[in-house]
Amino acid sequence: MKTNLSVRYRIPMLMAGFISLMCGMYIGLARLGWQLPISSAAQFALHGPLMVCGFLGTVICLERAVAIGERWAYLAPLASACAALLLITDAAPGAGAALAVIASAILVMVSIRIFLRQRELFTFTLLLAALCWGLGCVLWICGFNPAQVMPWWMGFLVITIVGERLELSRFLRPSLGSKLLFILALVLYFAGAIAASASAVPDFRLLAASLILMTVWLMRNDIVRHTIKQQGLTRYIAAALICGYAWLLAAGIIGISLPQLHAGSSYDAFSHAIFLGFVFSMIFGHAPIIFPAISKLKIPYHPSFYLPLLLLQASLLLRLSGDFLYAANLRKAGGVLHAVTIILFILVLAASVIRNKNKSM
Amino acid sequence: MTLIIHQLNPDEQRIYKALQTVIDPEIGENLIDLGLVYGIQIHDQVATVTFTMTSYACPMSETVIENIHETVSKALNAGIELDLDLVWEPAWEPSMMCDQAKQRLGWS
Repeated sequence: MKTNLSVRYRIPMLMAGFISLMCGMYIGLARLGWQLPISSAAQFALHGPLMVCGFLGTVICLERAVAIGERWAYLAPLASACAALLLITDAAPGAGAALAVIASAILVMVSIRIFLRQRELFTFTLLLAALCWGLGCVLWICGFNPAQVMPWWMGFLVITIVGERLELSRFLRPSLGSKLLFILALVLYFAGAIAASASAVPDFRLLAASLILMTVWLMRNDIVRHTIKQQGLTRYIAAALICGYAWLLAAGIIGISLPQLHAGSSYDAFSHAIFLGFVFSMIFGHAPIIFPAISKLKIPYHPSFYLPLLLLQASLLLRLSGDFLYAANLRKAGGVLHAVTIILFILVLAASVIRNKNKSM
Repeated sequence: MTLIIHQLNPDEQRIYKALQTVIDPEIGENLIDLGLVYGIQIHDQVATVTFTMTSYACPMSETVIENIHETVSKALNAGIELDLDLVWEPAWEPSMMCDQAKQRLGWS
């Protein structure tokens, strides 16, 4: 523990991640048709990179670096935070993308370190997730289109989350059959990602099938079945996870039922059901324990945490309705509500930090 | 590695009981019931708590250390120092949980 990096050096990286989140949302709103000033047309393409690499990449890299407590591991969040800032400022987008590749490569090394220390299926799964991020970054820098990069960045987040849930499923003593089902879902995901990435048109049917299988696995093996019966923070986390699983299933159903996904409608519905519905529900659930682990700022549970969680679900219903009904105004309203929800969530957490500080004074 | 309260002296038992109030928020169970505490020993005015985590990839270890420190310090007699020893060997196994926790988590 003595080698771990001081919190005062972690905070700027975390802040860069949040700046990336804010800029990513801003560009997302502009893409939805809101008349917002954008410095160049090329910036429209930065929505995904800023959200995945700049925000989520930085937070996940920080999480792992704090976990292993070795200073070299912080080079990963440092690289992704710098990548985000270079992309946002339009100073050197090429260098920004290269730094994202470097961040992912360091995360792979960190994940190898973790796997060698604890040789379990879940640590191997986390390593696969990091490899997905790296491969996605390489495809992005090589100029592949977003629909070809997306399966790998999606894999980075989805596989990281299911890997962490696999670890926690050990409390329920999973059977050999459940482990095999998990492995099958992973194999299917990679087959689906390769197929989607190689396809000339966005075809995510195989990948979507793996998402359904993952949801089945999560519903059968996740500890939420027990923790939802608890109270306070434990129950809140479980509620957020269940919402996330519902969106993962929704994404699977959308992807498997449509032979081809279309940008501006089904493709957006599919990707946002995962990136916002599944991934952000997880973030909302785990932020009260993960952000204190990184920043050492205590975020005690408060029932108000449910408000942004509920709004997130409502904003997604609105957004996906707009996607499928080709209703631009619904999509735009859903987009604004996503942004309002995420900002509200940050404010709710900040209020909890302030309440706790005032209490302890 | 099962820690048995009756084998501890009264001061160590106070630490044991304090650790029963440190909850893993993700599971909703305490560190003792989860089998994460491997040892409690007071020797030469130093109380040593040996514990583990379930995952080397989890960033919670610093938070857990702080929580243990905060809780156990209140249970210590004046003049006794607290030393927390995070170990990875032996690796935690689900079978290390206490029977009540196993039952609550649905083990038959």
